[in-house]
Amino acid sequence: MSHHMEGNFKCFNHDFSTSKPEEWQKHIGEKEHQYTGEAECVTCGERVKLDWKGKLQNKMSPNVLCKGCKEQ
Amino acid sequence: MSNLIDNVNNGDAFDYSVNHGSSLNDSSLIHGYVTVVKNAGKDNEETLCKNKHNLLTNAGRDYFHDQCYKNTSAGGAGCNFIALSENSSGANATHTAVANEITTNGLARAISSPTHNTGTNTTTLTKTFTASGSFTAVQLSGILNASSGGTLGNEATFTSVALVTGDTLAVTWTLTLG
Repeated sequence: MSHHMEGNFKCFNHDFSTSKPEEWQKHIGEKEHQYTGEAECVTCGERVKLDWKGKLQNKMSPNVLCKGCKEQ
Repeated sequence: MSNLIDNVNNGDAFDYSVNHGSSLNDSSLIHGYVTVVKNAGKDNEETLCKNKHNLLTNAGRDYFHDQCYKNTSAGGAGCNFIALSENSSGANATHTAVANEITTNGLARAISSPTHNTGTNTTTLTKTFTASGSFTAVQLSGILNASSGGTLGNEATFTSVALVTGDTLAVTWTLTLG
């Protein structure tokens, strides 16, 4: 770990660190990151795996649509 | 792989007002921040706490060490179940359960949506509860590793809130490690 990576939030992809949540939110809004995990479909609530890369504006995790709801 | 909607504003923008160091020293590598919003996205939206520093319990610390370093076989589930309570005694590192945990009317413990941001040290747990009954003072949340019982990893208080049927409570835990 770099010595300057001293903040609570650390991004090793972009060599960025901060302890201020608003600065972290700005970082993930400006830079693409890969998000993996599970989430509920925002329409039907079905639980689905997620593996998504992108920028997040004003939120900490992506919103998900299941395949069935997207096809409707 | 799922499909995703991007740029849907869920009102979770950070507003730094963290109470640091309530139970963790400044050099701790594990931090957690809790945001709780009532009726997010509605006209009567109310933010009950925003990025409040949570408390790592003693049992949670031991569990995480077991998961990361001590276990010699397959590990257990992550602490990604979110529990709520109306108990007013606060959060404490010695707690091993969420006191008077709510088990009914839509606010019972539920698995969250855990998302890790690859290449960073953060994981986010989110869950929106919908009340199907009345509550007078919801004010405590914890994350555990099972749908019932289990180990309490982290705990946090937030501004007490009353809920009636149909009200929602969006709970977001942002956890850092390393």
